[in-house]
Order: sequence, then structure tokens, then C-alpha cells
Amino acid sequence: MSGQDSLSIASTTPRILVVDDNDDNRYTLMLYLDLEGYTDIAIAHDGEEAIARLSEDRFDLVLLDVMMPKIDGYGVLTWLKGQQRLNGLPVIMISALDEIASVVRCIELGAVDYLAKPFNPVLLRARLGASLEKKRLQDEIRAHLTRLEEELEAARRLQMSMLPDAFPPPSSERPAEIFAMMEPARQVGGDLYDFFYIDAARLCFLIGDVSGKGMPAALFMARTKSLIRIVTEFAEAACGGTADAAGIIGRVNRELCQNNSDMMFVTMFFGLLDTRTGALAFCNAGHNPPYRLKKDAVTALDGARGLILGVAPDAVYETGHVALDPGDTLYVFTDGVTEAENAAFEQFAEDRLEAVLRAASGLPSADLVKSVSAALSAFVGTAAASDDITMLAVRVGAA
Amino acid sequence: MEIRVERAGDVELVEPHGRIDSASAKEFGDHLTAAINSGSLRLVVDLKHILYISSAGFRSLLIARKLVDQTGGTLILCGLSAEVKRTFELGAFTELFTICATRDEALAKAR
Repeated sequence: MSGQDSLSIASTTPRILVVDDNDDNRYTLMLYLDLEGYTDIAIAHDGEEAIARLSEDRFDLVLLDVMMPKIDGYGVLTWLKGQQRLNGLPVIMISALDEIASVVRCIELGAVDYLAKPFNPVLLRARLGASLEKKRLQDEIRAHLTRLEEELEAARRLQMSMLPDAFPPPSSERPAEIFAMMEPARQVGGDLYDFFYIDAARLCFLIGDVSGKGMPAALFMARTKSLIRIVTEFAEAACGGTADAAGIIGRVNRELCQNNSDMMFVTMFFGLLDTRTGALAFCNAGHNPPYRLKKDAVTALDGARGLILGVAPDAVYETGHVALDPGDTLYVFTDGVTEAENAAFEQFAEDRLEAVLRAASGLPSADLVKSVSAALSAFVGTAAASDDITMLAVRVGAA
Repeated sequence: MEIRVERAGDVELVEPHGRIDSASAKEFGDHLTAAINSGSLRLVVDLKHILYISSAGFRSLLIARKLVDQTGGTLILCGLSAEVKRTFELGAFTELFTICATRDEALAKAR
């Protein structure tokens, strides 16, 4: 595919603009250029005409004289400097041998090279060839980068659309409310969250963090997310409504270990919540423990810790159990939150997070998540994001 | 990154310095792979000069571990700082690697 694109760029004859007020110079140059096979030539008699031509048409190279009436070589160069669009256009000065000082000034103004008079056809070929090749490569690189950017953007849209963004309000059948957000550090990220009801009242939710960032992590994330959903659905069907968290995670782990010679792994917190009773069954595969929020009290939910997923096919997991009370919120997050850095390389850390959570503990999930997100943004300021940031909050007995 | 190497009998001691993160993990991993492939089946990695290890770093260790398993060798880690140990414990990496407190202990175990 890319082979075709570079072929079309290479086979286009370069378009050259010759700018000189002297008829003999122009004639000689045109002759030599023609002999070298450059047949697409335009001419300008002075700087003013040159600027007009450059404004209207696209050129691959300019041969520019210094001394000309109306606008001279320096004038054209100065004008070119101000044209963003013409940034990569190579300009070769045509000069008499005793004008080196002026040539130096032109190079400082942006010209890339010079050709002394009387013109030497061998030097002309070499200098033109070098500049044109450089421009061709620059154009190719720019086109390639644009394609890559577009692909990454498309991947980003695809990845974001994989994450559920519809957060249904609590109801009498499902008296829990949930909210989540994910911000990748680059266009695509390795964090994930998911939630779905496996029956009338039982909610499955999870958060995960794939090792690394960017495209490889995003691919592994997509694989993990699909696996969880399918395995959970099948486990639920096979066990007649009593799917076990540890069993699901164990099965997903075995599958992720397949065809994984690069040792990609994912940490995960996985929960099965009965929204009517608040009973939570959970499994933690190498992930930072979530926080359980009661009114003004924030405690880590430890327990049921197992190995990260994807590296040891025989890993055994256990299911933890906790009874959440009405009004309790479970806040799950990835380490991108606690490890977010500001410009002074300080980390947000657990203390700040706990303080924000304590202050927001009575709020609905959406407000809680947004409040942490706002505190994070304020802390990080203008520093670049170093890791994906993901969080999910589920509140029990909200209806 | 700076990686110091010593030999203690038939045990190869590898001592990386600094951070094992996405910038340096490949170099670190390649070094371990080269050592194992050239016959150094008993490896001790002393992490006492490591301030920070990221998931990329863990992956390079996991790849070395798998290679060592396949070739019937030994890989032992030592010198973990409290901070690094904590990161190991979080992912339960402590279950996957043989970790000794000191270099002497590690060398003794490797023989």
C-alpha cells in the first residue's frame, strides 16, 4: 500500500522555478536543466513575479538570483520565511563568484545552497539532485506520519467505543449506580474498565491495567475485555447463576497465557455484586486494592490477592467476600491515578487520593469520579500525562 | 543503562544501575537473554542499585525467567529495596521469582 504512494511521488517530474532578471543566465540554466531531464520549468524575471508565482503554484525547488529589480533575492527569501506552507521548499541561490558574502547572507535567510556562475552542469546536477531528493523524502515522511496519526486516531475512537459509556440510573430492581472514566496517556492505552449485568440484579464490574502503553497494550486490552465478558457469561450459564469470580479469572488467565511470548500481562480487580443485598464477591489479580467508602471513612479493600494475568497458566485465584452496606461506594482505579506526576515530579499518591475520597464519600458515583478527576487535573497542571488514568465507582443501595 | 557483570564461579552476577523502565528495559532484557543463550545458566540479578522498575522491566524479567526455565537454569533476584519489593508484592511477582535478601544468600542458592 505504501509502496504505491511513494511510487507516485517519485514518478512526478519536479517543478522548478527559475528567477533571474538576466536573459543569458535564464537561457543557460533552462538549457542545462532540460539536458538533465527537468522539463517542468517556470520562470520569473524578478522577485515580485517570483512571489506571485510561488503564491499561485506548487514548486519543488527554486533557483534564485540575488540582484534583481523591484524585489531582490533577499526580499524573496524574507517573504518565503513568513510562509508556513512553503517551509520545506529548497532555494538554491544563483550567484557570481565574487558575491560569497551575499550568498552567506542568503543562507542565513533560509537558502539551502548556491550555484556559482558560470554554471557548471555537473555541479548543477549534484546540487539539484541533493535538494530535490531531500524534499522528496521530507514529503514522504510527512505523508507517512499523517497516515500513522490517522490510524492512531481511528484506533483511539475504536478503543473508546469499546468502553461502556451509558451509566443507567439506579432502579428498584437494580438499586446501584455506577460511573467510570478512562483517559489514555497517548492516543490509545492499556487500561480498561467494564461493567455489565449478568442477570436481573447481579452486576459484574472490573478494572484492568495492561503492562506498558500505546498500541501493544491496547491490543492486549481489547483481547482481555472480550475474554472476561464471554467467560463470565458462559460460567454463569454453566453454574446456573452462581459463577465464581476466582474461576472466571483463572480461566481468563489461562487463555491470556497462550501465544504470549512477549510476556504481556494485565492486573485486574474483578467484582460480582448483588445489587439487592450488597454482597460483593471479588478477585484481585495483582492490582492495587480499591477503596471502600462509607460516610467520612475510607478503607482499602484487601484480600483475594493473586498473580497478574497472562504469565503463569497454572496460577490459582481465590474469591473474597464482603458485605457492602447501603450507601457504601466502592472506588476502583488504576495506578495512573496515584502515580500521576506534577511538574515537580511529585506523585499524587494515596494520601491525596484518600483525602479527596473522604471529602466526596457521600456523593453519587458520577460526582465522586469527577471530583477525583478534577483534583488530579489541578495537581498535574501542565505536566504531560505519564500513564493511563482509569477509575470506576459503584454505589450500593442508591435507589 | 549501566549494567555491571561479575562471575563468581559458574554463577553470573548481573548488577543493573538506575531505572528499569520502558527506555532501558529492552537493553536490560537483551543482556539477560544474551547471557543465558551464551551458556550462563546460573544467573543472579542484584537489584540494589535499582530505584524503580516499571511493567516493562517486569516483562523483561519474566522473559528471562521463561528462558531460564526452558534451558534448565536458575535465576535468582536479590538486593530489592523496600520500594521495589512493594511493587513486586503488588503484582504477586514474589511468587514467580526466587528472591533472596542478600547477594551472598543468592550466590549460595545459585550454586
